[in-house]
Amino acid sequence: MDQSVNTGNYFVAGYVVILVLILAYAASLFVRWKKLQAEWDRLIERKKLH
Amino acid sequence: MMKQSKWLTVLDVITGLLFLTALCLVFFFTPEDAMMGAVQKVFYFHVSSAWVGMLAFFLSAISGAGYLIKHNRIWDHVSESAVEIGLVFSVIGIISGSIWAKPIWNTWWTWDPRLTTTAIMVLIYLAYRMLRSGVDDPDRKARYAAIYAIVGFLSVPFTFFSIRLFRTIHPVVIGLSESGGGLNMDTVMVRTLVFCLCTFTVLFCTFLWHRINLAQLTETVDELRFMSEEDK
Amino acid sequence: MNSVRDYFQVLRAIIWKDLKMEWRNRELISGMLMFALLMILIFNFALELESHTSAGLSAGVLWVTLIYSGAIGINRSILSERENNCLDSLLLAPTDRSAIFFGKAVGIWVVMLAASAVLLPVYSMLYSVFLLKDGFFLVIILGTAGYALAGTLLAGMSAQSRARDSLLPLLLLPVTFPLILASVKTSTGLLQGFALADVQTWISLLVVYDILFIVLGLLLFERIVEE
Repeated sequence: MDQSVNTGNYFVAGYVVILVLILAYAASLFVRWKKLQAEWDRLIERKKLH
Repeated sequence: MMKQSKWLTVLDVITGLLFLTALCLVFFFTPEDAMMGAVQKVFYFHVSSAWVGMLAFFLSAISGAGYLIKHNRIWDHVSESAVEIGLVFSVIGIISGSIWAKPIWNTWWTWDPRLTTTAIMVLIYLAYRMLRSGVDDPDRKARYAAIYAIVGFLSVPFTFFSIRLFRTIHPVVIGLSESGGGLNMDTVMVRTLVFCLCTFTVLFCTFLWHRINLAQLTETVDELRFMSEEDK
Repeated sequence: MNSVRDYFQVLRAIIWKDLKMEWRNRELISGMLMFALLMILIFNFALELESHTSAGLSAGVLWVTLIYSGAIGINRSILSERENNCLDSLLLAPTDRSAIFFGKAVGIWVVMLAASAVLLPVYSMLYSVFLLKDGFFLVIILGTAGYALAGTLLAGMSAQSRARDSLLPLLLLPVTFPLILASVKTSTGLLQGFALADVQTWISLLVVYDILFIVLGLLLFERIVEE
């Protein structure tokens, strides 16, 4: 296989994709958690007012 | 304000450290494959992602059964969370596999048993999510989801076996089914792979814990919302 | 002993009721056949089928046609049960609910078999392939049985969702993938002139799949219809 030298680009691309997807998922978990917390706070506040 | 458990934060830090170590191992301390060059290193995270996908779907079927037996909502949260994480990692597995396949096999995609089975698995669990979003009543939603998680998971070995059989009848197709088998792995490579597998398993546990928290909070918020609408 | 007799009585009653209704209005079979013929027509031009098509293509076209018209039939059968509130009264029957499952599944299976009984000769005529072999019947019987079982199980859920009939194929097709593959491969093999013994592995795959869904229906259908 003569292209054994120049597979480096694919290697980098592979890890970029993997890392981006994992980080994106972690971020989405974080964002959803924060949003829900805000919603929860709002609802609790409203409950106290009543 | 709902706080997340102290232990979860500890787990977050451990997972982060493990993940960085795994990356360093792969990038700097593992030799390149003589035949395939650098791209072969995608292998470590590719296999680990695929493993986590499988593990997650297995767990979703188990917790589905748990829900049907125990009727405790926590099992439904586990099942739902596992499916979501499993989907993410299966997709990562497929994409990283494609990127590896392109320079080595000169194609992005082959219909070999593992690839095809993973693709069908992704479709099954996308359908699982559609089923969930299509049913309103929370109890019924949990029940149906549990049933579909079990049925879907049980069909996976059949799918794999049938494609395997399909391929042995057609020997024309390039024998790619042993994706890892062609590698001559030395001990350092094996060590890196085992380390990556463990790291991804820990990563899965961390994500799962976060996702279950999220599912529980979603339920609480939904209940609160429902109650405050009733107050009016 | 009595409960076993009750079980089979309920089972027979459901199958009988479905088939009698079907005999009277022919709603399912006419819809399925119409659809199947349209599919064959479209395939003919889309794939440019000649009058002597290859065995693999024939088997593929035949099964895709059967699968899709089958999904339509299953949807109809389960939804009509809901619309007429038949299911509620069926649930009152003093026996295990899986009897309802098997009753519905057998009803759909018989209709699918009837549809293929029309489809096979028509297809044989149109494309000059002789499909009416005994091995072929076995594949059709086993394949449609598994499809009817899996379809009935999943349609019980999709009928309760907001999307209703559009959800069933999405749930059903990925799960029945091995069944479809096995049916197509066995049919292809038989059309190419192989004996049944040569496609034994595929046949056993079909049998095991059918058994799996019988067991799943027995265990899980109860939990689908409970309120």
